[in-house]
Amino acid sequence: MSVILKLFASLRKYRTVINGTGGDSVVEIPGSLTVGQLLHSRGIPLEEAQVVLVNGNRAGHDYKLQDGDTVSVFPLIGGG
Amino acid sequence: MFSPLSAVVEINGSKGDKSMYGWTGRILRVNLSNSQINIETPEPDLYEKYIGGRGMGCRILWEEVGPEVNPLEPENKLIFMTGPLTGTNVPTAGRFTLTSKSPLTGTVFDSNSGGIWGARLKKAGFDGLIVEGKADRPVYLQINETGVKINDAAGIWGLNVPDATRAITGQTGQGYSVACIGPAGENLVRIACIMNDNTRALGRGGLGAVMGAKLLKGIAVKGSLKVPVADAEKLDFVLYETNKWLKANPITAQGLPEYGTAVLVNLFNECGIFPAYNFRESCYPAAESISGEAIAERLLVKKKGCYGCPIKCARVTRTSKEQGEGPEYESLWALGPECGIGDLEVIAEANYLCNRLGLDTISTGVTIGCAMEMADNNLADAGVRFGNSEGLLALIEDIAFRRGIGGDLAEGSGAFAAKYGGEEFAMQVKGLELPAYDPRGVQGMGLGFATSNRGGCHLRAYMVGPEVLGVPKMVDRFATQGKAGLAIFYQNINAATDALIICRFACLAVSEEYFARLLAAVTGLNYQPQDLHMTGERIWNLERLYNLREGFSHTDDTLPGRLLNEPVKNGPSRGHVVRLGPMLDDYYRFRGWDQTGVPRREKLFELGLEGI
Repeated sequence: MSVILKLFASLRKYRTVINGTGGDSVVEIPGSLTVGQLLHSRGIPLEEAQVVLVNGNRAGHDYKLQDGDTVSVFPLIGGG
Repeated sequence: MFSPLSAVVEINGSKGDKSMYGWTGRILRVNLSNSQINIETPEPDLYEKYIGGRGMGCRILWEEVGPEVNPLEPENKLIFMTGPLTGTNVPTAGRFTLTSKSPLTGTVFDSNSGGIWGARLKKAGFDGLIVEGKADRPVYLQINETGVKINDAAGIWGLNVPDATRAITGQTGQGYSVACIGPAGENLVRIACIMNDNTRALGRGGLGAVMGAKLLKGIAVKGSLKVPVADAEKLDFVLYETNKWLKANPITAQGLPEYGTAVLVNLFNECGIFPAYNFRESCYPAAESISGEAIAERLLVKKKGCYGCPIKCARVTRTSKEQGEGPEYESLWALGPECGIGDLEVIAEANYLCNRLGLDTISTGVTIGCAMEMADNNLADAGVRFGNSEGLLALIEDIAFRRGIGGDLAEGSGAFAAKYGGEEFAMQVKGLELPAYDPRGVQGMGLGFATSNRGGCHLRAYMVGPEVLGVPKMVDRFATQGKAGLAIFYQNINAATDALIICRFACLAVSEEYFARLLAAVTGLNYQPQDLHMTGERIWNLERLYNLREGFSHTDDTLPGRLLNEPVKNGPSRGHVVRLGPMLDDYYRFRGWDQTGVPRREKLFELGLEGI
């Protein structure tokens, strides 16, 4: 199955390990991966991935990915 | 012959209360009608109960500007206040507030700015400056440690902000910070701001028009006095810990320094709470190309910070045409997606233009967005459609100079929409245009907008902290239960930190416990965190009493119909509206107010407001 992985702010530096266009990378994964396992497999330190959204909703690192999910990952950020 | 416009008052001699620390104990009062200048020394009790900034400003406005006063008449006042931490080496404490009755909302209104102006006013020896009356010709004020002058501004009136700032410092000499208005303030535009050293703004509420109505073009301040601190050793110790928190937190140590406030764009867009096309949509497909990351890549010249700030979230930027500062998150959104515009250079240039003309970027963008949607509905033709960059830039100028239909937009979105029969297209609360958050996907933010006592403002409760950013802890953004208590907690503590005055961004990394300890070290008084909560609650309730006295009621604690009745069409917030009713009932009850939003007598006793 495949998911879309989007990395933002200081996590953009990890985009270089992914072959994608723009900010989105379609990532082929075997079934039953969690968000944490996906990030780990891409060399992204979990402690930097403080805010994870799956399809726009907050998800934990233990969320089990489904085919077609969009995973957006951010460090802790604020402003306004 | 004595000229009242060049009156110089020597102010050494009046040193205020020497037993005070943090505060100077002195407030400067300038009456522009008769050129009288006085120094007042408020009771220490007033300082202890209201601290400074927003608290003192509201207390003074309550006493001096009643419901009979039209905001643009000479009887309205401009109350500039610093706080006890301003000008000390507490990080982010270089701020100041301006309180007045707003010509846009009619409410009590405090606007809050960084930069260095506030620290310089404090170092000139003043906690605050009250300007009243109206000059008989354009003037500017010059304030330093030794005197105050009311100077003729004949050759400066009419200039834009950078030219006026240059002209004023050309006359005063170096070392002055200048807060001034541009053409928008002069033309009594109700969404005019006051710019501070060209780039930081007392942005919201149209207070630039209050300055314009007084024929006051600017205020130049210079000072180098040291702010007296009660316990320097204790202060150093608490500062050491405070700075550690700021350095350890990724928000203040990485996100804001690296990408500025616009770092929020992608997160909010991914959550479906990034409004576009006048809140018709809650996502903007081209968001990433106008994000903080895009600014860092394409426009950034250098990073900049306010007085005493280690975060440095300000951006000096350059487009292919010009250099300036910003855009900040809110400005970028208002002049961009809100108007259907996704060209980063155009947005930056619109932002520079607003800064030069002295216009509030949020209200300007949202008012133009309103005009764009009204044009789509054949209600009014301001010559702009969603996505029309050239029209945007031209209309900004027309608003500042009140040219053609720009004169109608200069009244703000609420008045503009009402005039042309499109009230439902004005995205405002109590007259103040909403900022860059779609509350249908952040329920507590909706409650915060509806109950804010200065109208549609994100900073009063800043509920995106817990609801989206996860600061200090994440809560469900779609839930309504529990939001009232949380909003009250934040409204109170934020009112207190606006009195100190500390930047809201420092509060994302440092808890109120540290601010209480810093305040105690600086003033020598025994402030505990609960004292800050109590002070904040007192300020909040006094602001509420002010608005009630002006004729506002619970019926004004609401949101534009679109946000209450039209479910979000696309994206992660799809299907949601703001479920305001139940949150509002809880809110009044938990505030100790009756069902019509009036503070109960017991609550006023509890807060020491019973005699007011």
